[in-house]
Amino acid sequence: MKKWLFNPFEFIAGTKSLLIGLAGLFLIILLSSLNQIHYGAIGIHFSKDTPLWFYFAQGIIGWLTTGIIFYIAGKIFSSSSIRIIDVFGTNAFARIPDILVSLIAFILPLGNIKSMAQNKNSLDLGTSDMATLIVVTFVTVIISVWVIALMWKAYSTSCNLKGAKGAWSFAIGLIIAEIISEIAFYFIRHNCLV
Amino acid sequence: MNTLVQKRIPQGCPSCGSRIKVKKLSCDQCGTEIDGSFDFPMLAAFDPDDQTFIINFIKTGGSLKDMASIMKLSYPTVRNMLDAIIEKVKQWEKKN
Repeated sequence: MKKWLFNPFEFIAGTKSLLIGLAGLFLIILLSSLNQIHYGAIGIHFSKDTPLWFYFAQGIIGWLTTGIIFYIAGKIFSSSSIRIIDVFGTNAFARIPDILVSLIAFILPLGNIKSMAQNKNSLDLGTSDMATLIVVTFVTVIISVWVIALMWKAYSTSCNLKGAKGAWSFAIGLIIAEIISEIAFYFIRHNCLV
Repeated sequence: MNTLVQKRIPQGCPSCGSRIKVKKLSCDQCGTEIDGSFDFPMLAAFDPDDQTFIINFIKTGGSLKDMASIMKLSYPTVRNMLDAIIEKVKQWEKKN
């Protein structure tokens, strides 16, 4: 059970992980669109509501940028024969815990917090909203760390990269993917959204 | 009550860690004994799990996909295990 939570890629990769991962990603995008939760390559935040296609664009771009960067890094740094479907499939599967973040908005009263984030108001929350914000932040951080840990395992297994070389290439690749995806979102937001 | 104990061939000298050689071979059928100094075959230098992997790899005709199915592991995990064995072979060849 512990292995399935923290390193499922010992048992699942390739097409199976891709199909399950993409199904999970689809669900995350749908749920997050209902509560104006936006995802990047790794980042999560509340923002103004946008058309549904933009949520899909964000989800797909976030997954694709990390997949492409990790595949390139694997080709450069690994001596193993890497399959592209393993890199993309395990990367998609690693994001499944984000479903829990998308579900939080249905469970906790986030109205004032969302409004503050969307309108960039100064912090003006009551005690109960502050408590909710602390709980949401704590849970989101825990799940985000879990997702990044899974993405590391996905990269390490699919590209056969371990130790310092694997860790550095993963960290730098993740940062590059986040930058590229945020740039892409900026251009889409300013050129395609009214 | 006799219980069959599976003995493992030592991988190196338990005293100084040096490479082990085979000194005596014997035939259980006729009692012939051969005394000499014979090099250990490379495959015997691997631990039992690696030896099992190599045998299964040969039996599947070198198919990592079939290996993954037999071992109930993912394809990249099995590939990584094979790469680790390849690395051990290269290290052994370098030493010998």
